[in-house]
Amino acid sequence: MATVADVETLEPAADSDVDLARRAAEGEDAAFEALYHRHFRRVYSLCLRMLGNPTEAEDLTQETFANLYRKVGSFRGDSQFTTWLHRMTVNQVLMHFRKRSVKMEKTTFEGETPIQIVKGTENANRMPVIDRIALESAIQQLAPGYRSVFVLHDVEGYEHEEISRMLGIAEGTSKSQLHKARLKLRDLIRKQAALN
Amino acid sequence: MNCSQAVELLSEYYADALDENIVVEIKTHLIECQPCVGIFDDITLIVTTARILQDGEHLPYPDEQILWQRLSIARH
Repeated sequence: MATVADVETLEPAADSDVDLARRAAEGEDAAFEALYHRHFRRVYSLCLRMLGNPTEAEDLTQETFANLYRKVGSFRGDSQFTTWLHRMTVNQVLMHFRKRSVKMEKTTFEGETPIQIVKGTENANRMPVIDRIALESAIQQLAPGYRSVFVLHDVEGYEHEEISRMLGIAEGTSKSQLHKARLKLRDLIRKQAALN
Repeated sequence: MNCSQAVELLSEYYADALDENIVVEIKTHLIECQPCVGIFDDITLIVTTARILQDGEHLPYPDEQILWQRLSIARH
């Protein structure tokens, strides 16, 4: 027989994401506002990293929450709310890319100088110790395709298999773009350091 | 294995996603090639720094309340 304690653990805690989502779906504006304030930074930071543009990130954050408002009733609690909202945000950004006709697979290093290693010279050009700001700045300079794969894999922790499904690209392409993105970041950070 | 071949595989090497015989070839190359060791160390540094970006603590955020007001207008 279930004890009171057991029942309590099965019920969503008051003001948990699940509880707020349920109440928001029932039309309680205060519950939706609480969800907004709780997740605003997470959604905005993901949009900013994937888009590389603060104004677009604000617009996409707004669109994501507007979408959440319409669809919160479809959250079933099968996954964590944060995971569900995270995926919704990624989809929103990808839809935006598609509208802008950003071609994820056609982003290449064409026209750029490949890494040339000259024995005995490379260490002098080693990347300096980097901080968060330097890396954020370099990420924003990546082409959209590389930036998406790098942010989703190295920052957000998605696996290549998930990324390939989200972006509609082959898993091998995801791996290849991640590697190129890392090399490009290294190049950008080294160039920035040389200017300072 | 030459430098170009080694550099091409460094991300997969970092992810421990290569066949053992390839791993041995890369390890052997890295023992004798400091430039490639440098690139591998840089990739490692980028990946470990990226991991700590997720919390977003250092980012400049827009005014949360203004965006909420915009959202409220858009919803109604």
